[in-house]
Amino acid sequence: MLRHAIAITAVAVVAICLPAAVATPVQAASPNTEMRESIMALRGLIDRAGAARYFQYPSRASVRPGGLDSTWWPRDPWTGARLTPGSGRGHYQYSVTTNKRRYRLTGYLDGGVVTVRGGMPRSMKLAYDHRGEEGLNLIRHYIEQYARAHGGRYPVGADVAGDGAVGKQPGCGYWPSNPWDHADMEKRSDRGSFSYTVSADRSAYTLRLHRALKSDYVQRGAAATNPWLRLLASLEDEILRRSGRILSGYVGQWSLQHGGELPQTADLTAGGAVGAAHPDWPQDPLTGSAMGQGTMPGAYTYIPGAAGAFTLTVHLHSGDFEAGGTAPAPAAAPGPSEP
Amino acid sequence: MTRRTTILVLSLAVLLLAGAVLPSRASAVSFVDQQVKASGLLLQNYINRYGQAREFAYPPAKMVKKGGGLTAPIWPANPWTGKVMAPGKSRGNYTYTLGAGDTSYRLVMHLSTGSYKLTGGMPRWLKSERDTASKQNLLLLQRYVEEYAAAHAGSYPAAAEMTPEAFGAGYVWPKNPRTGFPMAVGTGLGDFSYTSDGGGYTLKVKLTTGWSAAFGPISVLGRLTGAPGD
Repeated sequence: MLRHAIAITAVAVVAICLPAAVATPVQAASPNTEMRESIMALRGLIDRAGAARYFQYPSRASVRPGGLDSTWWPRDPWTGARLTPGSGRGHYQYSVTTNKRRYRLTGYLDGGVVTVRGGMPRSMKLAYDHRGEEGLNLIRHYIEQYARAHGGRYPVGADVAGDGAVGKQPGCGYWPSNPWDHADMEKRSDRGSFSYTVSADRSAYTLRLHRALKSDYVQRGAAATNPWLRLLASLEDEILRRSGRILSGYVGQWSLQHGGELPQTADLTAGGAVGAAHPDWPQDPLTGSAMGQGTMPGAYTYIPGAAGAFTLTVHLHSGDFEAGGTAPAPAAAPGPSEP
Repeated sequence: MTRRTTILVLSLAVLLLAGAVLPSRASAVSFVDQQVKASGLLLQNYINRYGQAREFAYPPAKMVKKGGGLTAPIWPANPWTGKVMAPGKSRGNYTYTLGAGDTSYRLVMHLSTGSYKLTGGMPRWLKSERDTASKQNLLLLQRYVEEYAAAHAGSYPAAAEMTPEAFGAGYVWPKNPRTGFPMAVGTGLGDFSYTSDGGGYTLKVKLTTGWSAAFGPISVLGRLTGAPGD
């Protein structure tokens, strides 16, 4: 009986202990190695979260147990608890750049640290830069279309937008999107945005795309570089020269009709006193409206001087045309006859 | 000591041993399974980093092992054997399967009982983003075609001329957002279709949802026909 009891006990002990022994890891990694693995695993969770959010990495506050979309969280090998932020052994520190495109993760070992960094892959940045260039080229075509429809004058800055005059043109219903924020490309200074500058006479412009990996991508356009627009500009300049001579004639006629007095600056407009006397006021060929005073191509500057002299400068695409001179005065009335 | 006493002592010893060992065994198994899960996340990290650096084309199965070519500072060990964790269906090992088009994968970690599954793939947003880019690129091609016609007395290019080489360096040729290579005539995602009889044309791009709407001549630009572009 006793021998049976001892035998049964021995079998029971073996049956209980053997599976437990088999279940035990054969070779346990050192806690520092396990901590490195935990940090790498955490990096995997961070990368996964970043990729799911347009490569914008999670905020510092969300990189903690329960903060990322994961049912599993790496462990502190010294305590067996879930890894938490801190600066002591078995903890980690996570920081992310302001634009959330890059991060750094530091894990604290037993006597040392392990640091890993991550961020938006370079291949994606390259793709986004190229997509921005494609978008800028599309905008350039829209701008050229605008210029063709506006006598070769490029749009002012405010018009170069999806909801501006350029974006509202026929055939321009789609405005390129900025791959970095997935909204319409806008005139800003951040990546994927652009700047637009136009010359004072609106005959030339510069577009700049702000890229991530390289300096600005620049596209320039000028009416002078387009043979068709160059021809148009020369024709418009010739019309403006003739219009300048017509206006000069109006000044002379006014002088003759007003005892040698020159019209005042405000009089020499389509809506002024001279204009009232001449309904066939010359038109600005660039805009199709009546020529007016100003400094842009298609406009003129008039300054009356002394003794019938006046300055009349017509502003062309190719510079200024001087149409001023000295207005004729009416002939002097005959004096009293000699007795 | 009587026999009865001896039996009682032995029975008590067995009970105490069972009470001590059984929970610790369960705990040990659970702990080892946790280690296997952690290792799965580690492997997933390496797989994801490979894919993200390659426009979300994930590694082939032959790469997902120690020394297979993945950048992996630490390769996990199988806690049940103490050897390198490797492809296989035994506990502590894993099974990696690449999805269609190499844009997704499935990683199964084999536990003491059951398994722990991890999946990954191209983010959904990227698919729509690439479709948007493809459509934008088609608009750019359309403008190039119009410029060509303006410089060629209103005649549109032949299909064979729809290449970056034919248009020249003055044109920023759009890239296929999926491959990173210049867009080309074809039937793959991001490729375009172009047909022309000289006096008109049809231009489409292949999206994840199928062929896009067809673009043709821009009527508002028709008056420029015959005028050279810049």
